[in-house]
Amino acid sequence: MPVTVRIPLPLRQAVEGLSEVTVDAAQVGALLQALEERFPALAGRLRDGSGGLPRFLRVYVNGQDVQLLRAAGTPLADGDVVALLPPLAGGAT
Amino acid sequence: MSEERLEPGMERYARQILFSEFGVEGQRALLGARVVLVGVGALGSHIADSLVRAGVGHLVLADRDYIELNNLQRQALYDEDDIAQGLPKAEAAARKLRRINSTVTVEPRVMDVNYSNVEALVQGADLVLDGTDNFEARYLLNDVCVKHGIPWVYGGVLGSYGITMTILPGRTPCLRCLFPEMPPPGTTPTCDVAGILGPVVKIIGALEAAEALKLLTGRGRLNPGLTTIDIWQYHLETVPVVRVEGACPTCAGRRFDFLEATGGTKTTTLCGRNAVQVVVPGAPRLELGELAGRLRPVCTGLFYNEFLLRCSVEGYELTVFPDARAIIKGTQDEALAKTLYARYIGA
Repeated sequence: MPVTVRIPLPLRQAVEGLSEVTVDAAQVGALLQALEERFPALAGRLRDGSGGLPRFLRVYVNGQDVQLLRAAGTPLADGDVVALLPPLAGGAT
Repeated sequence: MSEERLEPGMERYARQILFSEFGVEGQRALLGARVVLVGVGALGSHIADSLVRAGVGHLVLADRDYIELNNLQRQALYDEDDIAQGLPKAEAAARKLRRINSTVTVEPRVMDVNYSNVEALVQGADLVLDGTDNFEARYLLNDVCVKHGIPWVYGGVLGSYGITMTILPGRTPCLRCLFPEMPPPGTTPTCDVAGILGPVVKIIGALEAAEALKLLTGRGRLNPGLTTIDIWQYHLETVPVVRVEGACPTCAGRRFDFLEATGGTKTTTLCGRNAVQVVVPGAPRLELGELAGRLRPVCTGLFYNEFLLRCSVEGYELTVFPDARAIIKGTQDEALAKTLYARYIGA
């Protein structure tokens, strides 16, 4: 089930500068796990200690927040676009 | 409507009054508004410029920092002369803004906005705008705005990327609905590693200012979600923001963790500055002339004006403000900064 994951700038350094990554996964949780395994610098940034969604990241599938779907259990289909949204600290200085 | 028919004081706003959905009523609402802008760096200076030109009647500018040469690449309002004069950002911004529009009130506040002073700062505000550069300040703004029912606009920028969201307490999800916790320290890049492109700052600042115009006039359609922009990838998107009913510690639980934090001396590493700020909440004000007398024998390059004192000691540059705050440049070691503060300014 190849899906496209859009990597926002705050996470890009951890994925060798890529802005998009293709991952084979059937569920959001498995996708996040596959990403963390492929890019060790992402460890702890996409999943909480028990493998669920962390409280400092939003995950969208085709523009819909997975919290409104089935969270980490949200199924993925061929061609889905997954967006990761962490908060952003920068601004003033 | 022709300019001649506008009431006195309104002529300068003729072009935006001509925009029919804004009109004279919108202008009156703006002129009667009180807005608090926290942070007048990159984002904040663009927001302030827009709001003062548009005629927001009372704008409070709160900022803890002074201007450095590498700020000029992306921060509107400031110039080399402000740096030569050693002006804090809030003061330099206010001077420039008053030259742009002398008919509105611009109130500079050189201060570190923290739990001990934020409630007094936002009291009576119709709107709070985010020009800050760190998570803690934003969660603090979220706490105080949700607690007192003040709308606020969150905005952040990094590299080529920007993010913004409009928060109406009780009506839309708040920052903690979206991100109940801050990311662990050190996992989020800051502008000292990812850099920053000027245009994305202007875009996010302009979106915040546009939200302000709509919020203050009660007209137009507000940002319905979380907007992200990457100008390098040319990606623009607004996604819906949802909250799980009852789950948010702040707007559902009425728990204001950042506002209720207490503690003694507080240190903060400043984004991209190789500098640490040391704050002692509740400390009495410092007489800079008196401090200069004490420091003159032990430091070099001493300079002070009514806003700040600067000198070099042990290879570090100290900038001290009358509110007893200091920015210690040349280190990111918070413990060292505290030690230097205790040694040269006071325990």
